Amino acid sequence: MSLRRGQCLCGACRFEVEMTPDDLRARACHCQDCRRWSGGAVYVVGPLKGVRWNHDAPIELLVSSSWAERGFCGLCASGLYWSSRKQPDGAEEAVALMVGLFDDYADFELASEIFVDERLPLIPAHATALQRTRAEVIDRYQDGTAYDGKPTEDA
Amino acid sequence: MSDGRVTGGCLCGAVRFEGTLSDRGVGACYCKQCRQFASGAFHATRFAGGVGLTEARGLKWFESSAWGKRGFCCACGSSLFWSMADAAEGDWAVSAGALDGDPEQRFYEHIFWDRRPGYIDGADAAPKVAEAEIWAKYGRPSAAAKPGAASEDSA
Repeated sequence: MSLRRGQCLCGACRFEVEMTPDDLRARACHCQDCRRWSGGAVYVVGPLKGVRWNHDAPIELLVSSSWAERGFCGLCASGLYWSSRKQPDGAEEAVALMVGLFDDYADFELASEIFVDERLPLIPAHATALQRTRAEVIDRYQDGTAYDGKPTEDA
Repeated sequence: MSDGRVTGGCLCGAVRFEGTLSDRGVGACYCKQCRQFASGAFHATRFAGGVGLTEARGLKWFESSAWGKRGFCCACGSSLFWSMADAAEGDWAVSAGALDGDPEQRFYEHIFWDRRPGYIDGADAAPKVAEAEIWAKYGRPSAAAKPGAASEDSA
């Protein structure tokens, strides 16, 4: 485990989180929402549990679909995290943190890219990252397996 | 759109804009502030004649340094614009991912290249410009405008 820290652009939202080596496997989402929200693609690590924010972080929540919400800084609009709305009752929330926030990110690797059929054509596919289309992603979540907030290989 | 006229906006629609794409293409910036603001990199494109706002109710600006500011939607947190602090209204860099449709743009340069996350491989032929070269060319700002915005690389 290693302790990582990060913050938004203006510094009003700061976090720390313990990460395992497996947590360093980042994912890119190219869906139309992520593309518009970030201006390119959203790069995340996680979902991670145990993310600790400063108590006065001005986090705004955007419910972007029936199954997802996004946290951003109310002062500078830096994207902070993506979170599933279908997490088990009573479980500690697991959130996917934006890679760009981390002070130390040199050892992150890109494991997979999703919604690749909606990618901004400008951004090339990463040579070694798993590539999944919208249909492939949706299929994985309609097979009866509830999202449990645990890191998975490719979703 | 062959005449270069494009429209775009944020994820929720509280900011909408239109304009004519310049033929320069897209400049990607990997400075720390752009990584924080846009979750990975800021993909900046320019409009010839400036940005025309058609819906501005969500638009807010954050002064991210002594010389730059960033426009975003305060309702949904989408990262939209970068501007010199003293730029004329509409003379802004526009986030490529916020454009509607696919204008088929290409990179013309990557700046703060040495600050990029390790998984950005830059297979395209556009020039890659390091942080030191940027400061040598434009001069490094002496201080950030806002507490917390100062970082080892900031624009």
